[in-house]
Amino acid sequence: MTDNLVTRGQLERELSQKVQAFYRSHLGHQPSKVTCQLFSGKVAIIIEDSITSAEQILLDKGKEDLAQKVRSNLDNAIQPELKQLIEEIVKVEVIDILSDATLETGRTGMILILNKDPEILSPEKTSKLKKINE
Amino acid sequence: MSNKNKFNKVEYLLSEEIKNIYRDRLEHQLDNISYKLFDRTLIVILEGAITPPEKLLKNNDRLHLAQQVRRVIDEAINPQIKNIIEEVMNVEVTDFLSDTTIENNISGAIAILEFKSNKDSKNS
Repeated sequence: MTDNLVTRGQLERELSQKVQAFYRSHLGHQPSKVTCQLFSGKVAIIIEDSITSAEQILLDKGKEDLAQKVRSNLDNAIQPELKQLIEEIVKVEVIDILSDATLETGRTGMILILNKDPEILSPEKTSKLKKINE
Repeated sequence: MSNKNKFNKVEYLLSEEIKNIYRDRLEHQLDNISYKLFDRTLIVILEGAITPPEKLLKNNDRLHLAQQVRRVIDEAINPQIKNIIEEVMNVEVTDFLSDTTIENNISGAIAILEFKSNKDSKNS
């Protein structure tokens, strides 16, 4: 059955859009860009401009340590819901999340370890479907 | 040489150097290192990164202490891994994001790369 399957690119786009919306709804701040990449049972997520205005004020006032602590706590606080969101999209269990952020660049990076590869439409099937539709 | 073969060679060189760091500084052998390169991003996954002392702490209900130890180990080792990526791939790493989980014995890093030729052409 391939009816409900999507291509890798479609899944990555959906992940990017949903993660961006998740950040907006949970932190009141919309990152400028979210890139997701699926590979060998893992999802890499790169979030550009992920730092909130409150953290930026801390940095501007020279409170780097506090800003770092705030970021680390925010990441921990949103992780359970983010994990659930990713699991709903890829329909595979997330068994681990590796996450880090650099306040200077405003970039957050995550690597999610899945318990197996998500089911996606293979490139061969995609090209066959294209031919049928032509 | 095809791009795939070139990257296989890069992966081999990176792996040798990263394994050396773990062996020389931590007396520890990694189980596996894998990579994914896309756009200007390199993902590095180190499996079996946790050393026996950290495992011993975790197994004796000292997970928090083991996590503190790992943070310091990562702080000491990550600049070296970043340098290796820059040397082997002839790039500048403009951002290096990394994290380790003791429970799953896995360490991962995301390196944002600036290719030297891109940078040179931008400056010219």
